[in-house]
Amino acid sequence: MAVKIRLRRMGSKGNPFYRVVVADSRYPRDGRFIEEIGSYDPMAEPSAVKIDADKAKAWIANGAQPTDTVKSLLKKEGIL
Amino acid sequence: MAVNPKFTVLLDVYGNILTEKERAMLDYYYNDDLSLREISDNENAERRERRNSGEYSARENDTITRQGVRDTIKRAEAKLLSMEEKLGLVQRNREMLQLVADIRKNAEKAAVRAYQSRAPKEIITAASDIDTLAEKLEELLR
Repeated sequence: MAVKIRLRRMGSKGNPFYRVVVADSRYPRDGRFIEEIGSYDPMAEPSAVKIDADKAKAWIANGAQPTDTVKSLLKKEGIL
Repeated sequence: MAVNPKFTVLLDVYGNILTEKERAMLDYYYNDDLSLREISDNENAERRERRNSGEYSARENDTITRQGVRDTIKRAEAKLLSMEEKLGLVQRNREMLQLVADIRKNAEKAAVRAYQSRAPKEIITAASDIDTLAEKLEELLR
């Protein structure tokens, strides 16, 4: 069972907002996740990223795979 | 590829014009951050399950590839863009929110100034009423 770091949409209609979560790689619709490690607000100017760098690094070191989107956020934050 | 808030918002507003499949795939892609591969794998697993339960008969070509998902998503995005081009609801909404924000700023300023300059009470009340009404409008637009 692979573990992934991905975004999960929160926020109201027309007003997206994301949590960065560590979750099982399978179909994640049931909303379960292992840990929340940050947030991402694409609507803010400029977009606001908040990620717990230590936790992100620890998860990646343990084999968690960030999605492309999360990877680009991590790079932007200088974590990767 | 970063999350594109443009398509997320377009999906919220115009999602109903898409087919169920298109809407679901865009939803997975933009709201759940699934990769094309994950979407096609999930879709194929679902179809397999339905086939095994005899819900529909097996057809040839009854799997979707990663590329197939990509095509569906691209097509759906084009539909959303053309809808926005014709109706412009997202842009319009954004402009209205901006105007309402300006109204609120001015109403607050007027209320404070009226209070500081000991203006008649009705003026202060009217200014703060405008702010309250604008706040309600803001909630409606969000």
